[in-house]
Order: sequence, then C-alpha cells, then structure tokens
Amino acid sequence: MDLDLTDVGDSEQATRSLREWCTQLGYRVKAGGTDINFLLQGGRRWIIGLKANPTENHRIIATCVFRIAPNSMERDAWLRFVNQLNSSYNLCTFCVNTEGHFEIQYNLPFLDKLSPRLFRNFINYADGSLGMVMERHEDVLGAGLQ
Amino acid sequence: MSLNLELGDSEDDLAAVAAFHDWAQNLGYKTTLRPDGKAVGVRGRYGFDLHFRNIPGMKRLIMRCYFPSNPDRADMPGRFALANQINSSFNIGTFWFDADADFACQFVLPFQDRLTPALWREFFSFSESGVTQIIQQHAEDFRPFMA
Repeated sequence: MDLDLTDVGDSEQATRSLREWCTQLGYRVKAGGTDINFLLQGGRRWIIGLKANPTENHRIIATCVFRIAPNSMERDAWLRFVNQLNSSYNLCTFCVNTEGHFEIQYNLPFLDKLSPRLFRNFINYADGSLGMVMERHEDVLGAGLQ
Repeated sequence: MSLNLELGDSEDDLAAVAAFHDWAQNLGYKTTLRPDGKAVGVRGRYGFDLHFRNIPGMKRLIMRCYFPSNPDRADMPGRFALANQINSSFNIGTFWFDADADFACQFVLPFQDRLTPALWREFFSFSESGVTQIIQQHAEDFRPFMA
C-alpha cells in the first residue's frame, strides 16, 4: 500500500503518517525527540524527516550522524575530507554539522504517493552505500569516529 | 500514449540518458546530448549536466552545475569551510569545490522505473531555486573566491 500524501502540507502530520506507514512495512521505529523526525532502524539507525509540500515534491531526508573522536584530525582536515567525499561520490551529502559531528544525508523527493518498493530500495541503498564509503575510507573514518 | 519516461528494469545508464534527452525535449526543455552520450545538458536558469546511475530496484537521476571560481588556490581551506557550511545548513543538495576549484552543485532524484513530467518538473524547478537561494544567501561569502 502506497503512502499517500496528496494535498498534505503539514510536515509534522506527514512525518507521523510516514512513521505509521514504516511500522506497517515492518521497520522498527521510535520517536526522534521532535515532531519532525523519527528514528528508523535499517542496517544503521537513520533519523528520518519529511518536508511536506502539497504543490511541489515532498522530500524524505534520511540522516546518519557519527561523533568525531576528540583526538581525531583537525577541523580543517575534516572539511577537506568531506569536500573530497562530496566530489567523489554521487550518493548523498557529507558534512561536519553545526554540532561538530560527521553527518551523512540522503534525499528522496516524491510527488504525492510513495511505493513500499521504492522506499525499501532507498533505505537499502542508503545502508549499502554508506557501508561502502565507511569501508573504503576506513583509514580516516575507522580512527576518526566514535 | 504515456507521457512518462518509462525505463523499466533496464540498468543501461547510457540508454537512459538518450531516452531522457528526447523525452525532456518533447516536454519543452532545451537539451543537448553530450558527444560521448554519457550526459545530457539541460539549459534553464543555469546550465545543468545530467546523467543516470541505474541499479536493480532503483534508478538515480544526477544533475550538476558548476560555477568557475578564482583559480588562485591560496584559500582552499576557506572554500572547503564555505561548502561545508552550506551542506550543513541546507538539506537540498550537495555542494563542493572541485579539483579545478570550481563550485559544484549536485541534486539527486532516486526513482523506481519511470519519471512523470510532474515529478521531473518539480525536481528541476526545486534544484534551480536551490542554487539561486544559496548564491543569493551566500553572495558575500563567495565574493573572495569567485572568478
């Protein structure tokens, strides 16, 4: 059964609908601390948010955050590294977020309905591609993240 | 006849590029198939290059545009910091300074097996607006770096 957000413009309401729908699909979900996101357990723990827009595309934003180890690289070296990741891959967005954590973000725009198949493939893809990046950059990320 | 771009189960990235070129042109977009067939140029408010990455179960349309920056690389750390600031405060696309020190903007649309005109139009419009928003909001930050 598709997630139907036709004419829904309230992001909190849309996020609640998405959370219930994910539960129906068999995902383990829990509250995310705010009304605009929730936690979804895929291969990793994803923070899922939804920006509703009834006249344009809705967007699901899946974010994974890692604490940077205190004895890791200097901030300038991290910024060079995330710039390199962003230029090398066309998977998602990497950044050092405003709290100083390493953040990875995937976007899924859709019009008004979302199929279970596309959503499952999106989460599987996010899990798989993030795993691939972590493995390829084990030299930096293995030591640099808590 | 369907107005959708139907790519079915094909994982052929180049075939998707060629099919998209004709489809978008029929929708009224100014498109140019690149000589190597790997990308389509789409001219709107900005000049975007678009290509596909298709894997079983999900396809991705990847759209990029570039803005030349000052080739003097004295302050690459400043550029990396600016790109990171944009990436950490917006959640609309991916932004970086490339090997030529140009500013790159990337937007990705994952989809199942077909693109509808409405999904594509909204995605393209959203991407254009996103670039404009970032350029305007960070005009002063870009000034020292741009050509």
